[in-house]
Amino acid sequence: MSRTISPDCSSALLRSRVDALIQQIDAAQESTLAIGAALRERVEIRLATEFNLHRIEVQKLSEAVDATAATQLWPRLHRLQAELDEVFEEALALVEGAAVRDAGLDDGYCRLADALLDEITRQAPVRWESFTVLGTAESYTRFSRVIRVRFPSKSFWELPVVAHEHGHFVGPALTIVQGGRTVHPLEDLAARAQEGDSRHWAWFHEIFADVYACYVLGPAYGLTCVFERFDPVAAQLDRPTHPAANTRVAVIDATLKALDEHGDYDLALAAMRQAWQDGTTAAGTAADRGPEEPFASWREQSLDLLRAHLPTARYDGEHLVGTGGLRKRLRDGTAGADDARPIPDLVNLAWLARIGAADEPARGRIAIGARSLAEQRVPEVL
Amino acid sequence: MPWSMLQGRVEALRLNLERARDLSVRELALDHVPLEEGVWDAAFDAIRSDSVSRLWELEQLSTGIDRSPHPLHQRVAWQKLAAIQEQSEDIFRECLELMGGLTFRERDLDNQICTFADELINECARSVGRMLTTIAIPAHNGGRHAGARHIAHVQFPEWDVWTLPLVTFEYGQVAITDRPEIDAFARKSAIDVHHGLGADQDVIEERIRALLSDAFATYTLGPAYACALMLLRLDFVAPDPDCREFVAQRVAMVRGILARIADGDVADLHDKLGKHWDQALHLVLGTDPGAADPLERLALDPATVFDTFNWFFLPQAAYAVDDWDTAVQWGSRWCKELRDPKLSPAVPAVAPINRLRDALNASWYARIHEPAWVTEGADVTRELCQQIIDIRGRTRRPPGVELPGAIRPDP
Repeated sequence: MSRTISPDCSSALLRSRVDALIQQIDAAQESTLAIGAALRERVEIRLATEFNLHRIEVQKLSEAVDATAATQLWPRLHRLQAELDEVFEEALALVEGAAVRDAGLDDGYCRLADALLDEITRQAPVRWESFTVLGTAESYTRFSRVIRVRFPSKSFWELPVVAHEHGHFVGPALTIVQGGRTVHPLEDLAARAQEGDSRHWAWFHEIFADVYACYVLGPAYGLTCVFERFDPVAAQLDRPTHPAANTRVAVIDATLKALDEHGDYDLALAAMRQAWQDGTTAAGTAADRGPEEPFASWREQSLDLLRAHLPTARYDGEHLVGTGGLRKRLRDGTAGADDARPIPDLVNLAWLARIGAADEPARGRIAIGARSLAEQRVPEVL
Repeated sequence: MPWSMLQGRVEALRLNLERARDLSVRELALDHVPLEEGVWDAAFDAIRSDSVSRLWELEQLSTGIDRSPHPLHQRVAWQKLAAIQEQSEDIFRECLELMGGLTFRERDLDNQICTFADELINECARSVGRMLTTIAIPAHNGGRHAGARHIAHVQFPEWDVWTLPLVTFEYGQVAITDRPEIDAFARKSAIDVHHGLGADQDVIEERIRALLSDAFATYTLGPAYACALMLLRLDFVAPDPDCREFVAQRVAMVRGILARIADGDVADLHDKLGKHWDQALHLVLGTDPGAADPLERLALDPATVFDTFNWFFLPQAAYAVDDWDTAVQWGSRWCKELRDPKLSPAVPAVAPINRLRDALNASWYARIHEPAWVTEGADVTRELCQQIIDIRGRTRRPPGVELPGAIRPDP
């Protein structure tokens, strides 16, 4: 770190950039030490590896500066800088996100989201090992595995959306060994899906994440999408990264129907269909068909994959049977500590209670009561 | 059910907007960030006022849905809600950016670089006759609405003094917008270029304002800004030719302003800096740097920009020969101390008249001339900056006392 710009050296500019980059890697890594121990434990090995790999590459570049023509080294530096930009952005998200959580500015919402995801992955063969932070929209980032939950919403009703983002982690993490080689079956399916239309790779991943969220969380996910998230006005609008909401609702509907062997989801499915039908009819965007191709095939492929790889992670609809008493207590605001149960059950029960709620105050009571019960699970999980 | 679904969405958005509107410095519990109330208000004014506007629209929508004798058609109501929701996303984004950034600072995770950035902006603002400044927060690859919202960004994880001058660029956007004559100059330049090129006027204006901010930062901070920008930040290997052209335009503007600042040693440093840049450009891209004037298309002459600043900003805003004398004096001493194994670089004696820009220019002077200055220099410069801040703190005028001098009359 003692070298710097020499007026007589043609590679002086390159040298100054490389040295600065090494300093930045050190500073970024040091800043992650500020993440509290419990959260840091979830990410530190992966972060340390990522920083180390890039540090080695930059050091190699540094050693080459005096021996190699700068013409060849600038593009290498440019590539490294671009890669590190992503690493730094995620490191900042984690450090800042942890600080915001620690200051209580998320009202404990991220802890609740972590607890839900931890409960889900308890039954899965892949470990998430990251944590949620506030963001401007829900999103998942591959490098840090960080899931962002939408600020300023801290509504219990929207909690199931994190299961969708979690699907973006789980899908690519699934592996099988074929002929002595490790294969990523979801990536293979996605690669096949994008033949013919470049948008299909992203769309396939979105469909998988929707199917995954239904698989691990049951009807609560579909109800959240319809009642809280999807915009009926834009229901027919495909976006470069996401298929149209009408398509996604059809996929979610078909998935829940396929998973519901005993009619446990009937009430939820009826409410979901009615609400979406009414909303899109009012907005002039209604569609009355099920998922069309290729979405129907993608849904089946995704569900087959999940059934094969995550047999124990599937949400069991029987947990909703015989819960009329608890739903009533949630509506009345009289649910107590004895009513605590796993968070996936609580989000589903809250939604079922909401479907039968008469007015806004009752919905408020349900959200408060269910969240309070869910929070009792947080110390057990984290 | 569908009607209540719409009402549920309206209610959820209302709660979120109210939270953004009511976010206060108390909620963030900032004990260690020296945040003046005025700065907080400036940063949050736009968020509050936008939140109130959206809440009013939401109230109108709510009335239209269920309290009007002629209820809105549901399709129209959904469309209105979608529009309000979309506009609200910007508010939430800014809120989160501020909350996250200030919490980051509160925990001193930035090695106090944002405090130095605040002070640098503060002295810059005072030099152009402004009392209300800007708050610096860490970010990666900048943020949105920086200038208009009185927020400046320090690039994560650049926690040393070398890139500190770059924060002046963001304050430049505020300063340019605040001076009506320079703001008009930016707009007129954009219109002129638009007529000539036919490109999108908003894009052109954004680019012209960026170039004027570069000019402002060089004008007020001197060579330190040019060094940080050209040696550590600008990416001339970018694959997009348009990006590369913009980089060339920024360099031309900075070099043009630097050339006007003074003769003598500044010119010497200007030549060295230019040589590094031109050589690298030639090596990597095979471009002849002298082939064309990159500013020609934008009709921005650095000399005209310099004269415009000279006319409309207070005299103390400009970086001048006297300032460079201080930088050379301090920087030369550091170089001498570095070359002598019996000496170690020390913090020079500081007077109340000294500013952070003196420290940054001295340090860059030493770095350009002496290869061993990067790490040790960063530490000594940081110490020097702290001393300047301490001395200024002891001699600062009480709040409310106006700066001496007045804006020059219109020509």
